[in-house]
Amino acid sequence: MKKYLLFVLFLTFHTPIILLAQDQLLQGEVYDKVTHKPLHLATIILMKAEVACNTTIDGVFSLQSPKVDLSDTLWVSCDGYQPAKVPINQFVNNWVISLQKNTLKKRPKSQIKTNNKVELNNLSNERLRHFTGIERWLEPFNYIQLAQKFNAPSVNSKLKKITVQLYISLYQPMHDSCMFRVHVYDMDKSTEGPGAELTEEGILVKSYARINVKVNIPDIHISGKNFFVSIEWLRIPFNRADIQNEIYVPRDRGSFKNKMFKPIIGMSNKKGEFINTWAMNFKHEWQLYTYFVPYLTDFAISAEVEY
Amino acid sequence: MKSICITLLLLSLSLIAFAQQTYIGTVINRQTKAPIPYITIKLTKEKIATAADDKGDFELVSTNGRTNDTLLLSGVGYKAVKVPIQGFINNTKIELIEDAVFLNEVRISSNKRKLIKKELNPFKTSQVTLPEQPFAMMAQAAIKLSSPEIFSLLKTVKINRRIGDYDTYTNTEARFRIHVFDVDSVTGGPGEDIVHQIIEVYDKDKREIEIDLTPYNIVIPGKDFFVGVEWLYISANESISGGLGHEFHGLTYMDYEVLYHPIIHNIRSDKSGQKIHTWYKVAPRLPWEFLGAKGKTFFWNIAISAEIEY
Repeated sequence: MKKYLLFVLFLTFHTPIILLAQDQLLQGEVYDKVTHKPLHLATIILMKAEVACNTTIDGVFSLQSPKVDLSDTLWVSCDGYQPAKVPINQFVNNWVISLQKNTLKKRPKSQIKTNNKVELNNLSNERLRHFTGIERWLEPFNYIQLAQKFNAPSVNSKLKKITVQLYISLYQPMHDSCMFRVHVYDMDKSTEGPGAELTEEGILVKSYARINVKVNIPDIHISGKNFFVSIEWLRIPFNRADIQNEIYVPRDRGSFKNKMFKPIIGMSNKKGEFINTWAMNFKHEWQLYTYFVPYLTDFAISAEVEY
Repeated sequence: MKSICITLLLLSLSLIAFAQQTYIGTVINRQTKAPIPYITIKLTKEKIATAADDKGDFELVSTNGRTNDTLLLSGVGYKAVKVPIQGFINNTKIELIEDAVFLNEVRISSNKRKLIKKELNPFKTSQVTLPEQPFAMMAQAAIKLSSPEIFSLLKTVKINRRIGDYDTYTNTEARFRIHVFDVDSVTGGPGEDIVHQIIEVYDKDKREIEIDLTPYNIVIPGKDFFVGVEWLYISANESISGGLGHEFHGLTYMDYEVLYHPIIHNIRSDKSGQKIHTWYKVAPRLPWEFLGAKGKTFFWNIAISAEIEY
């Protein structure tokens, strides 16, 4: 008996433990705290695992993550609502999260008289050849928003029009429609990155297989010279696509297929003097987006300003 | 019982071996049986080396205790010999075979000989085919070219690549590096880089890239040499292709693929595998692999040609 026990002990210490990791699914719903209405397109982020998704029209979300750390936090945010943080160890499936509405005052409409018009970061008629918003072999795309910095010719100007150039496959254009949100930000003077939001809510844009997407915006008053226009990716089934990349993995060459979310936005072919691109990561921090440095510097987003 | 217990415990402790192994031997000429002085002895994996003394005796101390290493004995005028260390017995004599090196006479005459230009590995545009594995994604690839004379001058290198199919490849810009290697005497594959500068090429939208190498003044020491390409996995080389969508739960999803330029074409070879001269590397730190090696089913070469002058 003793011998047998020793043998078992010996085996247990010397057998390599193989853990079969499986994707975990977190499901739940997001509601308004007062009206109990489901919130459409609220963003749910698992902070450490760096995975995100958005709610459907019924306020339902399902987040798939390869690793779930018990010390992780779920960040739930929605435009016009106060964000909530939920520790993952309190999370049970089909969790209901309710958000409190923001009591922000509406910004006054700009009263300034304007004479001149200028289009900043003008997109040329030529189709742009570079792109972003997609997962690469060496760079995963784990950003919520990407923003382009603009420099208006004078202070106190009015933002009239925004145009975004998207990558559309001309081979199968009918499957290349997508949905995204546009935000406008002031410049934060300490970081020189995006600061306070100038749009009350993100502007929802639907594009049906169009290359140049014009965004209808309310008149936005820009007090300083610099401002930012950002694109928010919505991780919903409507935007889903697959990315296939061939990679080298030791011993074996293979390819990986990953879920990705549209839009794929263009990068300007012109190389500017400064880096004007910023990215918001899953911790809601803005940082310079330097993936294209030193070759390219601008996203294919143009803005028309009256001053 | 107690003793078994202790033995098992001891066994379960991981052993950290500080094995020091000394290799002692003598290098002699196979025909004359005379010792050969100053032969280089190298442990290939551990990357340590020593030289034999004037009596052909050597002593090499290995510290990492590898059991799968190989001793490589090489020297001028002798064929290199590889000895696996499992088969090595100390204080034995290792025989090397003479490999005669004849240096050509240099003739100096007043009449200037007319230089001849020759294109090596010429191919037609109609011969090229779609790039297939393993050229789709790798670190480097090189083709072996043979000049009729030694000390020929490498003038130009031509590369045929794939761009702009329908509209699937958005970007056509390619940034890559060119390398010229001599032949490794042990493997027969690419050896040392002959050019000690980085030759970086930028091309905007050409299908056939011609690179002028005359400013580098590359003289090939032997007859055989390799011309290779090194890919750069940077943002500027990326192109995207959107393929057919696929259906899933009633919705159609697009399939995208990111590719890195230059996407170099292949030239088909006959199925005997006799005419394959291409070597490749899947990662920068891995050794070169031969495309025509046994067990591989590739029957093409990479579309690189070169013009030499001799």
